[in-house]
Amino acid sequence: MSGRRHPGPATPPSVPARRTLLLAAATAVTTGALATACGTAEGRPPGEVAVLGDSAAWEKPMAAAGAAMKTVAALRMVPEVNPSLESFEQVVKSSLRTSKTPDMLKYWSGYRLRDLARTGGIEDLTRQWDRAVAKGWVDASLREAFTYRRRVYGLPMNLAYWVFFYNPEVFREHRLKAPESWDDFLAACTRLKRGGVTPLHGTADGRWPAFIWFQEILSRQDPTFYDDLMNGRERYTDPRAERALRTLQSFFDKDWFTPMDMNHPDAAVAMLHGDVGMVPCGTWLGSTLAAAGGRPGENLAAFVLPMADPKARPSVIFESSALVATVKGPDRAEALRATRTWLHPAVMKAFSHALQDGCPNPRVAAANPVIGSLAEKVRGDKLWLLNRFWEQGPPELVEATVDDLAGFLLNPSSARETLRTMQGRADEAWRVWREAEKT
Amino acid sequence: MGRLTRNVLVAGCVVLWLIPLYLLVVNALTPATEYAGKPGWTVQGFALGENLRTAWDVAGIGDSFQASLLYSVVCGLAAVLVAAMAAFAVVVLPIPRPAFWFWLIYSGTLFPLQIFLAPLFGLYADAGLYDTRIGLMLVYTAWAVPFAFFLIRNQMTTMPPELTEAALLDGASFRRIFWHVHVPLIRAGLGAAFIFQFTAVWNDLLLGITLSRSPDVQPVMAALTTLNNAYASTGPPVILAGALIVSAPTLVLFLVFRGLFLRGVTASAR
Amino acid sequence: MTGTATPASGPGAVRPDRVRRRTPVRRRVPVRTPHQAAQAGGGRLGGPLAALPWALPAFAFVGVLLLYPFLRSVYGSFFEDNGFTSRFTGLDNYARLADDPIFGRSLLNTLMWVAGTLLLPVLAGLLLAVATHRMRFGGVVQLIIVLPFAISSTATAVLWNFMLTSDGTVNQVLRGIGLDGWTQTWLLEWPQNTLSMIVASTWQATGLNVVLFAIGLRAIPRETVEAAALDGASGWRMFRHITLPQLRAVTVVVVGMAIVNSLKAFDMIWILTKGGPSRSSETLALSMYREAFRLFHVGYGSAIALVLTVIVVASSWMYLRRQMPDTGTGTGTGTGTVKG
Repeated sequence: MSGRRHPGPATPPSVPARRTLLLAAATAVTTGALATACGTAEGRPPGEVAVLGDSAAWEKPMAAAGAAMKTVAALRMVPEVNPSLESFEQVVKSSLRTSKTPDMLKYWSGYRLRDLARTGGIEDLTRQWDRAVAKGWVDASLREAFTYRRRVYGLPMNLAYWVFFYNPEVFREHRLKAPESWDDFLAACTRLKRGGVTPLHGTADGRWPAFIWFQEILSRQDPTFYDDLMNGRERYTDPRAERALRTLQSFFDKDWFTPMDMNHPDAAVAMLHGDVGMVPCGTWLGSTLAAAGGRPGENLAAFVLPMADPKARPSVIFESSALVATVKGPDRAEALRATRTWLHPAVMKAFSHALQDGCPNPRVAAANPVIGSLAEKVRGDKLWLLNRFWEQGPPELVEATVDDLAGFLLNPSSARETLRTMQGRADEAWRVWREAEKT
Repeated sequence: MGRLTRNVLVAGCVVLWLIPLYLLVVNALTPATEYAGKPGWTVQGFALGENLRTAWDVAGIGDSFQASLLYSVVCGLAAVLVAAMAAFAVVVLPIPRPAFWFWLIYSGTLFPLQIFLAPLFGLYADAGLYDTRIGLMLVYTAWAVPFAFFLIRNQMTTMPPELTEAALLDGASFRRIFWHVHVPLIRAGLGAAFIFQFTAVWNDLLLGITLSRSPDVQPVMAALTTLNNAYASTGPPVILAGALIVSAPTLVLFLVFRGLFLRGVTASAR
Repeated sequence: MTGTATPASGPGAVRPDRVRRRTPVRRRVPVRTPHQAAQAGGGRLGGPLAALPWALPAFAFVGVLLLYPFLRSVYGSFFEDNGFTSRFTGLDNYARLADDPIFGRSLLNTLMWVAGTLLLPVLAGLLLAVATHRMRFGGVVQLIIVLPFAISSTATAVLWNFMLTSDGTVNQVLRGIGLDGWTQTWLLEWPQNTLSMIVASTWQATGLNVVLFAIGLRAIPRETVEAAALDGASGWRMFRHITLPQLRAVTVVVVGMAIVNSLKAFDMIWILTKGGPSRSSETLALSMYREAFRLFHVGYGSAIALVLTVIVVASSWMYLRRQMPDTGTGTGTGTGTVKG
């Protein structure tokens, strides 16, 4: 039947009407699409520069920032998206050394950025950074997360805090307020549990979220140790790491967690509906929450998990994506020009308001009341900004340890064994990382 | 088997198959804000139109829909033609070492797809094919050829050799034999091969996102995936509604061609 | 990742009907030398090279865009590439496989996929096709079973997540009918995560097999069946000695593709568990993807890929060689019949 679709000589004379229709439709589609075919990676027209990212949710914010940049720098940024983070990373890594590399990237900060910087494929942006700091356009304490060998290789795009989302209406119902101390937090969990609400969301769905609870508890019990451990200066087999897992284990013993296969979108909904008490996540979950009917200030609020050790330096986990310019991109000059104005308040405002997330430029007002009060708390209390587990340590190590932590979440009695495995991996991964550092 | 057993078996399977489909439809109808965090069994309102619109807008399905239609139709047709020619050569013509050619072409379907990605990227970057529609069309065609070849070749082997012999005695050229003897006789098989390769290309994500990045080049599955990103999810109702839009072409193709298939087969079998 | 959604199989659509005029009842599908036809008029059409142009386009596509990248990867498996430097390490990557505890699990999961796929979608497809053959509303049933094939894998992921999570449909139903003890965390523990994903892929892939077998069934000449019925065959005997042999050509395609696709099983796993939790549901295809694209151990990933490829090629070859002597033996001289 499709034989007659071939441009061959065999087309029989009588064709049923339906097939003719199909053929006509196919031809129309083909010619129509061919006429508009041939997009190309040969750079953008002058005055435009493309930014490749892994998240479609950033497409509109990027476009908004691009439009704002047009007014301050006569340069428009155009978003491109590869929706699969695996594929995104692969394309970035294999293209960096070719002229087909994207001009600009949205990348991770921390060690993942360092991993990219040491290929020599991305631009040193230290001057842009220093200028921005001088103008007060960026929170200077973020520098470390974007630095490799003292040079800055990326500019912060967003500034998400890792917080606990909750539903104030549900909290009121159970006569609870956002906890201000660790004991408050434990008491809230107990009361919610008694009230028939699953207090906490925990999950191993999608692999990476397995680190969330380890990161949150450890950084509240001993932020210095967290920072040292993440940078390879301490060991997973340390009693302080074990204490964190034991605490987590005690939460499991009290049956405070949701099933470990509940994903974030479902947890967001369950929290808004009052089935789950608190959901720990980056503030970027806000857009998912909004799509599920969350209204900041009404049925949606967030708090920073209080310190378990009141004597420790108060801290919060942050997550910030890096805007990176590539060395070999076809529009390199324009990409560099874009980095000079990226942190400009007008651009940042357009971006963060469209994204509805926190902003690394302290001069930009918060996008919504939830973000606003968090930013106020972080800046007011001078919380120590610690980078997320995912960005800390050699990427290869993190990829493996999240699986170990997932194993722990499913079998919470295996703390010591889990930590031993993790340390074994850490020894090897740090050795490889430091060796590569020398070359 | 007894008629009763048979009917029970069939009915049981139909129910099993319908449950997920039912959930698909019911939850695609649910307004995004009414979704309760777990699958609903009953209709919670009717927001299909709204969900479809959200999916269409958020994912920007429009552009890529057109691109994917182009890839699927063109590559499906090209692959079937190329595969039919190869099958013709291996089965009918006096090609030396037909087994060698068979395995050479069929091997394309044996390798795991993921293994091609990195080298293909390098190849495409060097050849200037990266992020072009032509580039994607080439790779989709190549990807679709081996299986179509397997299918068509199998069908050609059941054609009586006398047909070719007679045609040759009449002095027909290879070309003529191919177009006038073989192609008309295996139309149903060619059609089937086309449908399967259309569906395969339509549903591809990995090749598409590895070898392109511009929105007007990327295939539609890339757009659909954006609905379910880790960083921002539009929620299951919208994702399912999006999936419905995107499944439409393959569904229509199946419905239309299924009628043609069985009619064609039955007509020639009776 | 819909990437690998190769159609599970195609309509063998081999149609004995074309030759039935000369076909005795209970004939076996003829297998003949592919050459005889052309050789009959041979000389006059130029030498054997005249056939080459017909195979070349296919070879060019496959060779340049599939075979060449594949060989590049194989070559890469003898190197260790960390992104900056690449050094020749010989067979080290293969030696590492033997020590990798996950490799064993991956291999086991892969074998479960092969067994499960042959057992469920293929067998269920055959059963359903036979059961719905000439049945009232049989066409509608087949249509319902084939619908999932048209649905994209993103939707499949969401749907089966609905079904299989702890609060999901399956557990809801089990609780509903009082089988609380049977509820499971389907996706979180091995082996039920692999098994439930095989079931999920059965839901998606069976329809295609049903359609293929249905086409094959319809093509069985009525006279064949009637003659056999006159001989007193019915029920199981009819199925075993008439139907099954007549379906052989379709079966080759269905089973051939089932073997290949189950060995390469990737999509369903990737979208539901990403091989987790804790790598418990990884198959070889996932292990390779993880090594090559998450950890950027390109050489090691290629080594896994090569092992996988060897398994796929070997099992396909063993199966197809038996089923298709005209190409499998490489001599091009068929024996006339094959075991049915």
